[in-house]
Amino acid sequence: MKKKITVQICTGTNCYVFGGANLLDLEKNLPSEVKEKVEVKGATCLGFCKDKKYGKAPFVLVEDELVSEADVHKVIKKVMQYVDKVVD
Amino acid sequence: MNNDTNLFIEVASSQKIKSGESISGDTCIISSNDSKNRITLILSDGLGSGIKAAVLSSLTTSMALRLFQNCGDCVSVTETIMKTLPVCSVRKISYATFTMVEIQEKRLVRVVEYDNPPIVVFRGGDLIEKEKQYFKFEHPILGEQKFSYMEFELQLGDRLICFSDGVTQSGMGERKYNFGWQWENAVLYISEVISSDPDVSARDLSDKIISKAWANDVFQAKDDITCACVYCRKPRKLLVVTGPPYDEQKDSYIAYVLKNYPGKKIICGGTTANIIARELGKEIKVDINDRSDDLPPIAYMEGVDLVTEGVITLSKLFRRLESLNQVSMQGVLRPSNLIDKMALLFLHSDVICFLVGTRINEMHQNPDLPVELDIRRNIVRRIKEILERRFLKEVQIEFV
Repeated sequence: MKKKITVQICTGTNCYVFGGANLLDLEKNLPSEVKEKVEVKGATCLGFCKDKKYGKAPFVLVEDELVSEADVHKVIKKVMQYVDKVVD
Repeated sequence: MNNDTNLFIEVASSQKIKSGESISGDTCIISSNDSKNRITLILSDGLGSGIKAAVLSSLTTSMALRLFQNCGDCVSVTETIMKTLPVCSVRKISYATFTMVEIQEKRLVRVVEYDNPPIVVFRGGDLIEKEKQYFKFEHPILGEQKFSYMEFELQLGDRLICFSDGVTQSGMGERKYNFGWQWENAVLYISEVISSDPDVSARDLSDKIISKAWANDVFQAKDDITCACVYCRKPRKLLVVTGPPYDEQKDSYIAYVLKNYPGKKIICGGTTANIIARELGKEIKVDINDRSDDLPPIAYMEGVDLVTEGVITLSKLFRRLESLNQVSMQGVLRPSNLIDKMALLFLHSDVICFLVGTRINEMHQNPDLPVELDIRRNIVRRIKEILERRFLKEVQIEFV
């Protein structure tokens, strides 16, 4: 198991204008006990917006799992599902 | 004709307004004709300062620009302008002085000077003196009037520097320069700047000259301080790759062009950056903490000077360029701000090539988008127009 949970925020145009801009401060909103276990990264367009089957922007990848119409609340919820799996 | 693509004529001007005034009484116009084979620079100093001087100097520059661009005979044009200009009834002197520089086909330089400090010509690091012809004519009110004319062939590395008397008289009355900085000291300063930085751009040189003159005035300009520089140089090149190609088979082409481009490189667009990274086997790193101006964060790729988001960033860049004019750039652009940093990359380049992918991102046409996103090629066309018209850059666009 990896040490840290990787969160990739899509910074493509579409994701950004549909609310991705608010996700860029995700790290500040993470519960303090989780912060050290998570690595928040930006990514150039992940390409999910080009296929409707993935849902709507903004998109965030938590590890390999896609979160569509992502907001801070949804992403933190997904991150918390992984937290327990991380070996300290 | 000299269509040498290895030569570029950079022209830039800078200005400080007289302390306490809201408008400069000096006017400087830099313009190129539609076929871009003739560049005209006119610097006029209106009598006095403030609005009245500004009206007189802008009247002079616009009249001179129109006449010089449309009439080949500099001498008769100058006489006409001087006879037309209003005359101060009290001081019996002309209301505005001017210097006109015209460069044809990147080669022939013609200079007309009327009562401004003499133009300075440097060839490489050396001050050179070109022979001037003096013309006299009888003015109906002022009596005998004199102006000078010179022409010569421009060479790679030549610089022409002209300034208003706000430069030569700066520091007057201050301890260091009792009688003002004077032309000789200004020339000495220019020579020092060139010897310490032999490739100094026209933009930086004119900024440095006015900053020095302003410092001479202890940062409270006693007159309007204006300087304009011309530099015949090898072009500094910038490539901007934006948008994925219409045909995916061209992906390798845009990567190839970027890899081999001899100059600075910008990628605008996440998908574009992904394509190039994939083709060249490079890594992209997005720094989510490095963002400004409500723009998506910038990214880093080895060998590329700047990687940004696409259409939002380009639209903001256009608006920023639109807000600037030829003389007000100094101190306005902050490299810590993404758009300003990008604008500086453009303004510090002479030849700018856009490689524009024309594949439409259908999601950008979504009517639910909270902001209006223009089509990439339209934004690029607008940027090209402003760079050519206002900043005299050579801009090429290739659509793929």
